[in-house]
Amino acid sequence: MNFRARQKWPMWLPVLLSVACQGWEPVLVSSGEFEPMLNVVAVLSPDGPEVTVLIQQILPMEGPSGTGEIRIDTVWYEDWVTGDSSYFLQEYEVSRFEVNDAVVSMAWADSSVDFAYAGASAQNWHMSRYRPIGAGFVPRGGVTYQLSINTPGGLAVTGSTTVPRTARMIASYTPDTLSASEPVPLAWEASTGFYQINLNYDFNLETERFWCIRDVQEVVLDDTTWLGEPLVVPECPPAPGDFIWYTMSVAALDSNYYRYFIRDPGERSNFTFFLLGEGDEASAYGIEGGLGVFGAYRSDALVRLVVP
Amino acid sequence: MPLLAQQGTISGFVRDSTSHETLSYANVFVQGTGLGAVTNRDGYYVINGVAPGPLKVVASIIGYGLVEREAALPAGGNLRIDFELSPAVLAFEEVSISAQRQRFREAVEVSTVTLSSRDIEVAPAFAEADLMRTLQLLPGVQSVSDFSAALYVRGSTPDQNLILVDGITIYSPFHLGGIFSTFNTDAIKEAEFIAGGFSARYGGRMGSVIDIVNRDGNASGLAGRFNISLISAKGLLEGPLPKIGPLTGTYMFSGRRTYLDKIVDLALIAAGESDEIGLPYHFSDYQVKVNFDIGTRHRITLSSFNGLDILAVEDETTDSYDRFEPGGSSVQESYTSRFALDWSWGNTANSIAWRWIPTPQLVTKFYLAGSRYRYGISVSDYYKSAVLSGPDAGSYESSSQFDVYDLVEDRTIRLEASYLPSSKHTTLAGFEYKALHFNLAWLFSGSVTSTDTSFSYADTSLWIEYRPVEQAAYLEHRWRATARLALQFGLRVSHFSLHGRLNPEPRLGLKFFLREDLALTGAWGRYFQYLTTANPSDENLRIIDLWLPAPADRPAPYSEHTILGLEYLSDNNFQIKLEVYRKTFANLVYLKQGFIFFLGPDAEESPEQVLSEFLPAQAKSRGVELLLRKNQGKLRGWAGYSFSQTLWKTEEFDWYPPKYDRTHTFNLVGDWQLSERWHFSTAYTFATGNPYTPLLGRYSGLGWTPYGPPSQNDYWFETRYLAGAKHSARYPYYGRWDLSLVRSRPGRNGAKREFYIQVLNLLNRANVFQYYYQEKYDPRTYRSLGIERRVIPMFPIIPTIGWRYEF
Repeated sequence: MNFRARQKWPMWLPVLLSVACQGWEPVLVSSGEFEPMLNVVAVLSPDGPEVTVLIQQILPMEGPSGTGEIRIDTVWYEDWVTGDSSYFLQEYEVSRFEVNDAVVSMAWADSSVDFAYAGASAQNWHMSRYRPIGAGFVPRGGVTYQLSINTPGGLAVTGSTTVPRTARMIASYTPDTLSASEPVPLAWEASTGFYQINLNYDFNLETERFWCIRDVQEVVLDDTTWLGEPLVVPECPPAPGDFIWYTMSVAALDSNYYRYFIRDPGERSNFTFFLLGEGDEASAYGIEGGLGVFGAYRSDALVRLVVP
Repeated sequence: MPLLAQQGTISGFVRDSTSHETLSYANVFVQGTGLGAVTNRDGYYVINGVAPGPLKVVASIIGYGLVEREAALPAGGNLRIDFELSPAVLAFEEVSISAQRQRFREAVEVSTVTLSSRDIEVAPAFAEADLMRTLQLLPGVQSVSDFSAALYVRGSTPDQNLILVDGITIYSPFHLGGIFSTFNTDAIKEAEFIAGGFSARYGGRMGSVIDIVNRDGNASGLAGRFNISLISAKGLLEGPLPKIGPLTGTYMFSGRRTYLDKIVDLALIAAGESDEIGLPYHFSDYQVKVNFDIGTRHRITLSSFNGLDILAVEDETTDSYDRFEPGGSSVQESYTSRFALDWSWGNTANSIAWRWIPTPQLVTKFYLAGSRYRYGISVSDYYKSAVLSGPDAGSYESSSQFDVYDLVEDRTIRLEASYLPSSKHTTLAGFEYKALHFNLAWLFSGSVTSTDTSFSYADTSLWIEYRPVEQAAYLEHRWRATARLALQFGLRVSHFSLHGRLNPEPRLGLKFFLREDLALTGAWGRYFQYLTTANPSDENLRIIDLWLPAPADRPAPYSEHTILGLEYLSDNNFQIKLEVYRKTFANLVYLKQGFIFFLGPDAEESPEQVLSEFLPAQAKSRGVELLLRKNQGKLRGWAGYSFSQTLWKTEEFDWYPPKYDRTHTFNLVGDWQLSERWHFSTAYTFATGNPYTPLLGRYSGLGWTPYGPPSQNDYWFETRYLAGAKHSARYPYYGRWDLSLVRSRPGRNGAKREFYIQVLNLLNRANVFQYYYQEKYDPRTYRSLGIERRVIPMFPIIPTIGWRYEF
């Protein structure tokens, strides 16, 4: 072997090149310590939409989010340029998040109701929707409900929440008609201590002044009165003849609902670079053994006319 | 007359004869007496207890010719002898005692590294030499990414670094989101970096000190240097002021500006696209220093420092046209739309300093300084439409303005006196008064004017303003107890008006010589800090800093440093430093992570509350650092290794490593004078990857709708990733190898021209700045394949060139 001849080659060069330009390619990732869990959203309200229990399972990082069987929906929309109706084909895989074989029941006092799988959620096809079996399940204020979910795969979640008593609005506290330039006073009977106030308008104003009117949403803690700002921007009053109807509601929230939807809305992200974060600290309120929320609220409302 | 009463004092300054810059740690001694002294950082020396009569005084420092002066000292009198030493490149070996050796013998400086302008200039850098980038290569200093020149020192964050330029505190001295520091290296004479255990004269920060001294200006004639790099042009001019009676002086001016915006503008004009928006960003900085010497005892120094970044965009559209009505008639209409964004941030600092030497042993300094950091974003929108003819003739005009700004102002008065009664004792006492002003605001305003209505509105969404006062008195005494032992005691007592209590900050330092070339060092101290930045603690790209005072309702944050070390300096100036440290941080605060820009429906989540809602934290760090440094010869540089562990503790996450924690860091900086014309330098960094939070799984999370009554109809969903334990994983190791090659050519009359080429990240390694995740789909079937992780990398391979001219 000619040792000298070999020395003419820079032996370190391949090593150098092998470490160069590394790490630029994307890679498929896998979870380190993955623990299967259910993610549950269940909200009870006597005056809300029909009670449904939304269930999905947490997936590890690896693997597809669908099983590969595709269904195709035709989605119609109005073309905003031409005004014509048009459509596109939305392709779906069968979601691996979806849980369609869970045994779901809700119990209170000496009663209970079972829930049955009703397909994918209208808002999210990854989320399975379970509806009460039989008609007439309406949650009642002041009653504590126990949620139980079990899957054949061994995943189990329990939950508990108490539907608040109505924070009944005191009609005499709020004038029959509101002035555009006066603040709005509201008062209600005490309930949970967590209250969400919503003021929504309906109007017949000239459209160019619609932005002069406020929709209001506020959260009040541990108080039973609220004094809002004038509903109409003072410098932009309604013209004579204009009128505005305001629907004012106060929802008493249970603490699970408050913490999940309002205090920590959408869970908490650790943003490190613009909007790129390092994942979410998913939370569980009113839920044991999984993620999500089992919450409740109850609303009361007044309607008032706002005059210029 | 008693013998002691007859003894006198010799004092003065030692300067470079060509530049007239003072020389620190020069050796001055009275020949044949054993009496001597070493110049301090101002180049000043005092030799006490000198017997009267004729004598010969000698001054020397490595790199300069030895100078002897003969004089006669009167009995009980004082003698002022200033030296001017000439650079003597070939006389290295003739000078036996170097500045570094003197410093090693005299100073009780733990965790301190001094960088000369040469050290800073020769290190490879991104487009421009940068002090902060060079400091990042020292042991104990970590960086969070290539995109930031900010320093994370021994577990401290950048807002815990005290940055001084000629004694003025500078806040957030960075351009372009932290990529460059504001300091023009041409202006720097030297920079002292103290990683911990600093003495009582420094206060207000609990991390480290970067004390920059700018050039005084050349007293012997006009001099200058100019540099053109890929991104900026910079220059420096210095020279003497005209002599007026006893008044002499010098000046120094340096400035820098990026010019890519101008080049893009010219290119657009050449392409006939002058209406297009070019590059709307540039930065500039300048530093001015003027010294006035009045006789030999008084010096007045005026300094000004300014750095500014501007991102400005303006766009205007105007049109008029005829709109045809169904009947065939037409209506003339017009509109004007204007949008402007003005985003600027930067520093301004001005100071006046008066140095008075009433007696040779007493040097007093008086500083009056103002320093300001401000960023502001101003967005304005204007729209006007008009119907110019027909029955509907009229106009509609609206304008809106959105302003966000943050301001920290610091007005400082400082009095300082140093007393040098003997070579064994040095005392420093001082008082500092800082009037601070913090103001963070979000403002909206606008107006609408139409044919039948007109109004304006203004809203202050956020207004946080404080005007606290920080005061401190300090006393520091250095005592050379024996030939082997030097001690330094210090006490700083500080007071912050928002807290209303006195906080003692004791400081101790020692140096014990095991051998003439080997010393054991140690330091302990407590350090209070009364201001903080309100940026989210986990962000790794910080465009701007939000400065706020430490919350009044919480105890003042402070840290304690304990440092032990061994320092060796060989005869040929090869230095080895080994240090072990432990730091604890108490009463820290961090900003609640949350919805700063996305306001929740809850009144609690208003920006004012989020920005002022600090949560308590504590932290600790420990580490070992090793520095091997060679300071002379054709091959110079250093190798540094740091082992570091930093942990933060919060109620939410318990103990976890912060984003900037790197366990192992190895730096190699080499600087090789290949020949008279060629110069090569290199820097290599290897470090443990920064921590990040791994993902455990994914789910289709429930979003949140801010409006409407609570109802399941308001839900929306998105793919979310379930985070694991905070910062429990680490990115792959960080590695970067930079090179620089300089070719020098002599010009006329001693001028020098240099052309340089630099390559950053020679191996093009994809150091991870951030991971992001997305679903990967089969491009043919569009079926999900799983979650794909992509890398947002730091610097790729970047070659740069530049040209420098010095005269």
